Amino acid sequence: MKVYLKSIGDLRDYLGREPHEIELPEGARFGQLLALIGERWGRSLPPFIWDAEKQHFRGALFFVVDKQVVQDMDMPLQDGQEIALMRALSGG
Amino acid sequence: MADTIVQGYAGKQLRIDLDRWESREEPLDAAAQRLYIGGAGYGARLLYDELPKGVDPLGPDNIMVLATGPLSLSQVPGGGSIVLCFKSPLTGIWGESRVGGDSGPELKKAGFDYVIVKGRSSKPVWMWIHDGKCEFRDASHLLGLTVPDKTDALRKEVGEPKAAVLCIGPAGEHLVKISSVMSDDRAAGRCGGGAVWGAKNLIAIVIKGSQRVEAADPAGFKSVVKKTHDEIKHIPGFLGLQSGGTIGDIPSNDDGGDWPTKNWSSNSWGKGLELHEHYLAKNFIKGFACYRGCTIACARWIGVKEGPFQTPEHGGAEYESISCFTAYVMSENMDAAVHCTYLCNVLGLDTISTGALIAFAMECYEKGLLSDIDMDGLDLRWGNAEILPVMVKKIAYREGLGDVLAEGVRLASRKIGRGAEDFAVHVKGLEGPAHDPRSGKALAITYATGNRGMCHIHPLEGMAWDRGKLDWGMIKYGVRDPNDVERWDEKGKGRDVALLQDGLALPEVLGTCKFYMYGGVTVDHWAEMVSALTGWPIDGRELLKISERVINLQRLFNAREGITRQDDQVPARVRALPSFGKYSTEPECEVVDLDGMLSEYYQHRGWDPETGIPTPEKLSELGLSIQ
Repeated sequence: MKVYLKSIGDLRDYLGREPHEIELPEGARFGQLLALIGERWGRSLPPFIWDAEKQHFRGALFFVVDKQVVQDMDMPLQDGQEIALMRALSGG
Repeated sequence: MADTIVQGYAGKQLRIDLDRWESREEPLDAAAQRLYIGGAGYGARLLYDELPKGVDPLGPDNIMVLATGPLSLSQVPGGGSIVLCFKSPLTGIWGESRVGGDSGPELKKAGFDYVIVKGRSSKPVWMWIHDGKCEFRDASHLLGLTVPDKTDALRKEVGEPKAAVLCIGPAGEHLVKISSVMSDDRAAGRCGGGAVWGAKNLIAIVIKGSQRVEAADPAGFKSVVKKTHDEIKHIPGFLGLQSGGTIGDIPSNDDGGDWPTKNWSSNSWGKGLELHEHYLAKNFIKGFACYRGCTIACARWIGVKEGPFQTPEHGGAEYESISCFTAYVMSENMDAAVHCTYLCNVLGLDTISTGALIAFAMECYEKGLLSDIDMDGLDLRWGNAEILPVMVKKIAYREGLGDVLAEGVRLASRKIGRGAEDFAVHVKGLEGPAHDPRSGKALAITYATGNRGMCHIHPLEGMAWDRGKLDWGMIKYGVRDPNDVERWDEKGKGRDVALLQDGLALPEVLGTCKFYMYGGVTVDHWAEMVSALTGWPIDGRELLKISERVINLQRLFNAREGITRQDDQVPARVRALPSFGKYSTEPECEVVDLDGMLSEYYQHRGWDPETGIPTPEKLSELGLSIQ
């Protein structure tokens, strides 16, 4: 199946403006997507976004799927889903 | 006789004469509400009409307006809001300071849209405003208490544990020009409103009510409010604020050159990541809402469990506050920063100005400029975390060097002399906050032209557009898509900034929280709500015109006090190539042609290019005139 990773705001400076199409096995879970993102982009992402040692995104970043913030690594993904990566705002 | 019937408002303003401990109800001028709506808009009208030029901000003739807007209702997105409008003792010009919490909605329920305070009480006083009444009570027993202790004592005294309490802390009592008016853990922080209260001997205002504001179209109002809440709860900005609070993603700001460091010597430090990780691991407890009804709940409950900076759990750790006690002063100690922002809250100090002044003092110390002042053994080396809470208290109580700093960085630098003015970072006397135009140059224009001085949020965080790529729904009103704009470009941004300022000034006029605009509420949402509430057939364009009118009126207020284009400046240090850090080899980040940007801005605004004052044609268009 295919899912689409979309970056929001200035994260597009690092991950590109267009959504990335990502192929995953049927029944893949959110944790598997994260692992694949790390493999593909981890080395090119700055340390404040990607923790290379722990192989995950830093705390101030989060993913939104179907208008909900994802917290469950075991959440099953669906074919054609769009996954948005965004960072918490700072300031104000 | 002026029309006084205004639907959707409480319908009355309360005049306070502190000399006599008397209050007087007045009906609202309906026409004025239509033209200025409320909040900082109507506040500007009142101050322009009633404060002659040259009034002493700490004298009895200064006026303190507590201004709700029509949308200061707890069910409205962002409705927990009230704006204080006054002549600032720090800057001598327009002072405006908004605070969250329940004060705005409770004032409406108490039957009033505005409280207009003049005079000076002969002894410390607090006011109890409830269901149409205003009582004056002796506040002598409250003097010297911290903000939390005053707040608890007053709630017990009126027997209302949920009463809204606005009060000053010891800093306001000592007339510190960077003192705040507090509402629990929330601050009307900037511009020295706490000193205005202190000078009037006004210690607190407690508010509670049970009345209701009736909408012109109750079903329509309920529907549009619900629709707006439903639409925004999945918007990225809403989720981001809910998830991270305003402290959000400090490492990204640091990396992006949006983190003023070492008194603005640089815009990036490289310590943001470790500091933020410490905060997440050791200080952050949970998010919470600052007013009853807030769905974003961006406030952070934090603490320091143990160690030399042990701090009780409290609401704090806002981005600005933490940044001013870390990057500004080169302190790598997040616990110290949390502790200092707590101290500022309980003593009633503006966290931004306090951190900025300590950074300034550190640079003075480094340069050997403090030899004439009683230093009492203070070690003001950069990065010395232990000195930070000491300095906060010295400023709050005006002790030693704190007495010099309590006047604000402009006056402090003049007193210290010997070149200190060269690194006193302010615009029009207001110290700079924790956002840097060397990350996105639109901010240079807003810093230079903001009516209260060097402010990133009243009305506009410019770099949130050209660097952060937010548009707040303003593209339909002529703002360029930020994705088509380069953050370090300078040409062409004057017009965008003016339009964005009009849009982003609206929350202060409507009486709402600006973070809801970051969360997806647009000018059009606000217009629908105002229409249903008041019955006025108002759309987004008219709201923007009203906002433009308000910005111009505040500009006239400042012009009358002597502000011209010459004052629309950004300090050289803030525009210069950073002296260290990631961007010290990126000359593109320097702000090179502020004059050019301002000329574009004035042209769009319809202001005289030489003086920066609105032209007669522009004033006529907006229905304003110079008095």
